[in-house]
Amino acid sequence: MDSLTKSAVRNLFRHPWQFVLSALGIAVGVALVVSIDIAGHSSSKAFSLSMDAVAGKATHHIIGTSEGIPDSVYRNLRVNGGFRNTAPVIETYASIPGANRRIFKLIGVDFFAERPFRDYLSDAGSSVDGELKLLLTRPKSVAASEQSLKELGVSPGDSIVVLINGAEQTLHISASLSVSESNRAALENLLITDIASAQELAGKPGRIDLIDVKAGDDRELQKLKEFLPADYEIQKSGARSETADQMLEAFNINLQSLSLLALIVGLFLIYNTMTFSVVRRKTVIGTLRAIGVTSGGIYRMVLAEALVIGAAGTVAGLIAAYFVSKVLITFISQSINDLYYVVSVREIHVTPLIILKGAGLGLIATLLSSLKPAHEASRVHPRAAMMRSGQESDLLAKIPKFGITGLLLMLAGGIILLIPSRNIWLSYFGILPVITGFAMLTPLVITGLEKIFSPALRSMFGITGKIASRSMIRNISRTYIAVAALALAVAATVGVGTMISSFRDTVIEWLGSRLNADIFVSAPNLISRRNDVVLPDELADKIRGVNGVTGINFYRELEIYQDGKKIHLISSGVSKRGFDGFEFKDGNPEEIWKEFTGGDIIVSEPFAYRYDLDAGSMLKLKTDKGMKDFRVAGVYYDYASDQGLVAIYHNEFRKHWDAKGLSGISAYASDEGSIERIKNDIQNLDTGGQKILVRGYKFLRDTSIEVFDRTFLVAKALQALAVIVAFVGIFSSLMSLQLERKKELGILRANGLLPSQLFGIVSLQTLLMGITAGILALPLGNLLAAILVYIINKRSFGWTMQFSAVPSIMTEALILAIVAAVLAGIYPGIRMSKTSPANALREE
Amino acid sequence: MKQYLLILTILLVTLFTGCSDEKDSLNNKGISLSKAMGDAGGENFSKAEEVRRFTFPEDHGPHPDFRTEWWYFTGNLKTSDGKEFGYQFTIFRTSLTKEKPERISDWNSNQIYMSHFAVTDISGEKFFFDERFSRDGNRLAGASAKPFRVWLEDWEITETGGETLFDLPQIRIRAVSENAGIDLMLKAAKNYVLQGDSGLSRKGGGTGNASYYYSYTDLATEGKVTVRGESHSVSGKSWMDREWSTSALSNDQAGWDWFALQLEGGTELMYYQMRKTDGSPDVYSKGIVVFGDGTSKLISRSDAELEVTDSWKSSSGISYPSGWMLRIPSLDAALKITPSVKDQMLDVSVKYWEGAVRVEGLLRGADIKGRGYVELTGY
Repeated sequence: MDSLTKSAVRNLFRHPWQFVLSALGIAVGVALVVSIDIAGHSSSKAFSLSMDAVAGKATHHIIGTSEGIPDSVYRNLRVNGGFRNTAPVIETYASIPGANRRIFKLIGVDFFAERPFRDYLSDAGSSVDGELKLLLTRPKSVAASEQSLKELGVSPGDSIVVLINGAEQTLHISASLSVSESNRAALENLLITDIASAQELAGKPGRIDLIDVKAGDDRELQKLKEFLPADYEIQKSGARSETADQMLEAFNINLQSLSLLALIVGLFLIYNTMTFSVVRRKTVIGTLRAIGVTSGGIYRMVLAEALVIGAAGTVAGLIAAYFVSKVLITFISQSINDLYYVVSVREIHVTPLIILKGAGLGLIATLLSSLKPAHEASRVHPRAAMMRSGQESDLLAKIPKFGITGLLLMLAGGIILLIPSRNIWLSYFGILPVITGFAMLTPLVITGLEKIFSPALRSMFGITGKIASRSMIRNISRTYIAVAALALAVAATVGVGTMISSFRDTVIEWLGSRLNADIFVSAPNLISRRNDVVLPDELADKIRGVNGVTGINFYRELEIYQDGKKIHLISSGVSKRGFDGFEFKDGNPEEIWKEFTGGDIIVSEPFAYRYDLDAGSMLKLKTDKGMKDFRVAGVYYDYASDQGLVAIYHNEFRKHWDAKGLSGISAYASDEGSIERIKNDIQNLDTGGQKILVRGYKFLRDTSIEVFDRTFLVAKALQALAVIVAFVGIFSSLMSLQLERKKELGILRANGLLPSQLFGIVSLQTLLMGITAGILALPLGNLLAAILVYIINKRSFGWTMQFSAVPSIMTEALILAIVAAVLAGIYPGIRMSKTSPANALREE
Repeated sequence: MKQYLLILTILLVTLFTGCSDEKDSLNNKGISLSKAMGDAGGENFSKAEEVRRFTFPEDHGPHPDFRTEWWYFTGNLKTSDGKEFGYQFTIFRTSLTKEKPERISDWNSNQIYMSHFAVTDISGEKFFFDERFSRDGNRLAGASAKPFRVWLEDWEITETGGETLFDLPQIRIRAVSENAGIDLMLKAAKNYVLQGDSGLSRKGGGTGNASYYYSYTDLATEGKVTVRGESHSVSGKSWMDREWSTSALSNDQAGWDWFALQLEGGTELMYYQMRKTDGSPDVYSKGIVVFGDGTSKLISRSDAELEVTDSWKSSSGISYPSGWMLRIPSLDAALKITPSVKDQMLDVSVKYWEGAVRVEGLLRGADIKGRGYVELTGY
């Protein structure tokens, strides 16, 4: 480090406030990006670990039909085929009722087939010696890791009550598996039981979910395939984790992007700080240049200074990220459980790559945002150092040019956004020039607004008002950045808030038309939007027969694995009345109804987007009778799943799939007054032991909205953090601004201005800046919201949403901007008003 | 008989040894299935207490009221060009509980099956063995008398539909493991013999410490032996032991040396010597000699004298006897017994040595040769 750089770094420490505040901007940005990354990675890791725990050393899985695999297929493999490296698996979930609703994965295995597969059952890591007899012969006996048992406060010999597929079950703890380093992760949240107990607990007698295979080569697999029914699939182990990761891709990218917004605000802060630092030291820089320091030397000096800030911020951000991620994980895993699959994230996984990405992002952001200030500093002419107002007059003259550049940038951003690509990153990349361009319009808006405010301020506050408004213009190169940073942060909250609100309105409207029945019957579930529990088929007729029921709809949900992808199929026994609740993108619903009942399928909008389908397209589906082509009759609006749904008429479904049972039934009541009575009657029907939930329209709608709100909790939290960054930004800008104007204010004081008047000037000015930022944030915020609604969401999930501007969000934003600015101005105001004129002017 | 003892070792290991010994006695791979086989304490199983009438084919099938049972085959085979092979194939059954609980799942099971399979390539001096476990649930393993079938997945003993001779249907045995396989047809050349007191074979002091035990000592055998992918047409003689019981040995019994010899001229001789923990032979040691005409004569402990002439040490450091001189003065017999291959140790859940042997010596004063199988446990 040369002496010049050393002096620059020392300079930083001489202004610790500024140093800390601008580092804070980067820190918060980095912390958000990294913590979201960690949270996402941890949940994905938790899922794949739970998959690995089940998959063990399996190289492949045999997947059967919609009804699973009959016991006889496995028997045939072993007894007639002699395939030794195969093992049957049944998977289900058991949740412990109570406050923290811990979810365990329950797997049923045949202990005699386990040896090649699951390490944790071996003596090397753990043992179930002696208890095997209990596991085999005592129904509902389970084994769990000693750690899990400790956490549950039970030991072998005890019983626990859990919910499996909505039914209460008493499990007997028969064995404690000792935990070692190698099996610890696999055994977490795992209950192991004998396959007989698993079939009984999961209500699948005679059926196996999948058969694990350990295959040496393709020839072995080929031989295996010949022994299996034709429509069976042999899937690579790990494919399910991949599918899960794919499911979460869009969800994660969007979270990531929101956190990037925070980093962009941080970027402005660095830019702000460095510009100030250069402006403040113009004399010093001029002098340095005069004594022979090259412009390159100055350039490097400023960059080095910025890097120190960036590095400090990045390190602080990385440390903070670890703690933030712990909080985030709770939110994110809740959303994943609501929307995608059951996962219990109990550990934070940080990879070097995540750290590297975060650090790189922090440092690159710092460098990028200080390039311009460094460039300007290097161009300071030794003589120009004497001209204090040089930069201001420069910028004032350039305002129109600046504005045009801004407009051009926004245009460029718009063009990028309009590129018809499915790449979400590209879309987010398009937002960047829009924001930057908008920021460049800020000086134009400030001067414009000043012209409007100035006369009013003058008449209201006299000279104080005049000085306050004029000094905004006088110091435009500094004020505009502070204003832009605040505007951007507030705009981000407006954008995200409006997007969520638009989305929510759309969903509520959709729920209103789709949930057009009065009573809804389903089995209790762990995942809010998935029904893998089945109600008995007869229940539909029983409900139809309840006095006062005028009609019913029912459906059966099924997951089809084909070509490494998971397709959600809905077999819909919908009545015409229920079908009228569907809204189609285009086409005549009457026609579609005819085609649908005639055997065509309809697909939800996200599905059509993912698979590039339209009315009239063909889609191949893996049925229990082999692959079959289906014609798409229409694309319907649906917000239940971002993965998309395929719906097929129930009669048609029965022709191609063997799956029995129903996932849900809805019923129409003859009149509103009888709904409660009908609900009671249904609740009292004989369901063959299956627990059912009977709910009204309102309850279902409210829970759906609750899930929706829970999903966006993270977004809201991020929004709040962005405001904090903005607040820090405006505070540090104002501090610098006031410090910078020390002499100017000193002269005012020397000329007889009272400290209270000086405080008034500072406060008025920050008020003005707040109002300006607020006014700027509204259009930018709505623009961002529109981009999120029409472009980002559409490209991420394929959803069409109705954009609606929200007056309350805008009012709040305005207030937020003003309050943030005024609050940020209080401390600098007090400091300035207390400055003695003599001290301020000492330099002269 | 020997088979009985094998199960008893398992019981001894699991019931009477502490955890520290376990690592030596049991391999560390997988959950201790062998333990489960021995883990039937406290159940009220039937016991072999009185002489019973054997009825066939019913008694070829399973007796789930008793804790343990096995179908045990050994044999010496030869190709037409003189290549020699030995084989052992056993299916063991263990009841975990006396009553089978009523359950909806077909995997429901209280019967565990274990199988040991070994082939000795005598000419090639190679030994291959394998072990399997399964349950009777989902019919992955099982046993039935009519038709006669005992199986553990794709390893099986089935009746072929051929003529039933001496109460035993013709049998096909099939087993394939990684390096060896057998596919053999067996038919009885001689009637079964009832061991011990009309089939009630006493193992130790106290009532019920006994098994029901019968043997087919001469089964004409033909078929194929596969070793490392190469298939050989073979013929020769097999020996089948059937035994079921509930009770364990007394604490002072450490193991046994068991001999099943098939001599030229149609004489078979079985003798086992139980070793006490102090190394001395137990009074419950005994045997039987079956003559060419099917008549038999029991051999008691005092009738026989067994001398160890050689030993062999396994790579794991266990030393086994590896050569004997068996003298039975009442038969005027002095038989020199030599392992066909030294290393025929089965490194399975419970390590034991069981292998093909050659016999040379005198019977009733005349020179005689033969083949046989020897089992050594508790070493």
